[in-house]
Amino acid sequence: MGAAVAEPAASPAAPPGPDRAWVGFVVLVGTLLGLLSVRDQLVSLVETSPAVQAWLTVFVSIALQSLPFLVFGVVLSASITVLVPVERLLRALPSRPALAVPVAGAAGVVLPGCECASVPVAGGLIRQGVPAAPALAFLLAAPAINPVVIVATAVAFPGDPEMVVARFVASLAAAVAMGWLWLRLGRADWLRLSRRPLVEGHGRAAAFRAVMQHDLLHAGGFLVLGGILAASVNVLVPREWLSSLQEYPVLAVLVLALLAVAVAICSEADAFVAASFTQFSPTAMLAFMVVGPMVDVKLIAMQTGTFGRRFAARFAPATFVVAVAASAVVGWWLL
Amino acid sequence: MVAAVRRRYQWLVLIVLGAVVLRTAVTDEHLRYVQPFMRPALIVTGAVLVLLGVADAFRTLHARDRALPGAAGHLDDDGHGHGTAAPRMAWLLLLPVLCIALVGPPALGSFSADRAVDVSLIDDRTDEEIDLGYPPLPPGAVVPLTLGDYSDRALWDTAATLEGRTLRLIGFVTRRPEGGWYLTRMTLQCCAADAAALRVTVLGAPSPPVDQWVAVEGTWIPPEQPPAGAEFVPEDIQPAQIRAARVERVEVPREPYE
Repeated sequence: MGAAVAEPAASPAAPPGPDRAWVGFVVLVGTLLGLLSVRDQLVSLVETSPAVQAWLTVFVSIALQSLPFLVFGVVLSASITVLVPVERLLRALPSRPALAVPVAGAAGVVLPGCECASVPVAGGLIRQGVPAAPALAFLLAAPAINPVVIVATAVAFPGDPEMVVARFVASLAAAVAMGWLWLRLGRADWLRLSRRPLVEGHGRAAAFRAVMQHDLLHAGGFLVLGGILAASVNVLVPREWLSSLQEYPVLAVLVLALLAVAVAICSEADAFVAASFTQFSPTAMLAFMVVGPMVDVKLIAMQTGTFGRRFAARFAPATFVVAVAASAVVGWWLL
Repeated sequence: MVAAVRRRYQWLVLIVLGAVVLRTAVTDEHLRYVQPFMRPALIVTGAVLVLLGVADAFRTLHARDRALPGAAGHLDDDGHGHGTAAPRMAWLLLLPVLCIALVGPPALGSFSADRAVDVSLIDDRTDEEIDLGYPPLPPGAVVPLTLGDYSDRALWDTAATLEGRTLRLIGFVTRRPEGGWYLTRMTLQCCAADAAALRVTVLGAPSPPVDQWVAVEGTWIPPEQPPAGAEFVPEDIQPAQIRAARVERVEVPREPYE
């Protein structure tokens, strides 16, 4: 991902002609202004379809909710790249990879926020030389076990501490399992990180700016794609489908897990949504909460953008299976 | 074929996106889409995007005058003589911009409410509230209440604090499948993707147009009790009811979500 289209190298000594530079700019601005001028007609058109209007509201809402976390994650990632010496990062982790994975997973407790932040951070870590397995365990654990999510889960399930514990244990277990799985089966050539600007030899501020811009543009578009998918599911999937499933407990767990992938709800809020599925078993609710922060359309899209399609095509389904399995086991044990 | 987002346009995408985010954060527009506490985060995010874009604009203008794009050691170079173009996907960052600037969709309404879970039916009382009931209402001829508060008291208040009082509820109109109408509000945890509905059945007044925001002043109708010796299961619980004495149209509240 991120292969650049080279500027036509007609002759290295000639900068791009001013005419060609400005034509594209004028077209872009002209289109935007043209659209603005028909704004009223657009609004009336949209008002004729409540479904389209709802889609737009949900889409904008997901975008606005996620952007601050993405920017936060990018700031963190750029800080790791530009400000933290690699040695310090690597020293913090146990040198034995099999031990580094659970430590990194547990470290997920420190990064509060949406999964949108964890992808850029993990990308930054890997680029800095942190081995992929613990970085990926961190990527999966952080959105699922941070304090905000735990508290939200406790509030959504009052008087039901087992659910909070179950969520924590199942999520951490799934993250660590995925890290170990990568150690055994993962291959470095599955990770295709886009080329970042060279940072050596430039001032820290300039490097910081360049890295931030790079990460934002690379991840941001995919985040929006995830939002499009999630908004579409939100508007198109009728609730009645879910109610008919309560008779099949195993199917119910799978269905809620798949729903969690499709609706891409932020990990701080998914506990309340899970609690509202009163007709489903606690294990199914647990699966919804464990799967959601680890694999959903937003995450898959962002992972594709940051790590490449080959990675996402393997990582996402594997995470789904592991997360469902962890929920089933922990649910059977604790709930 | 859509081109990759080349270096010379990246600043435009960043500035436009940042400006729109800032605008929704500074005005009340963001309240249609996210919770009020997101405002500071959105302001910071918008500001960061705009600043990044401005910084990049300066760099782009500066670079055109001076070094060639392929110069060794150029910061925005990946060492192969290409500028770091962003993938085509990055153009999608303009989609929220277009949606907000061109359409500015309203807060969720009856379409979403009809499809959402009614969380007013969920009993989430603390043990204390179960034993002692809810605190008494403030004095006054008419007491304004949120739909959530009215619903909790109407369905489960062992102290019957609503008895004999006139209450004022604000929400929008949705159709009731069995006939009649609900007064509804949507409630968000995080964003509109997880929105749920709060509903109160309104009796004694004809239905205003669907999606119209109204204020209902009325009195409590106690909920149906289960037959002697039996207990209601959660599926049997019906939304709270209110007998309307007065229904008047109101403006969309500043914060549409409860």
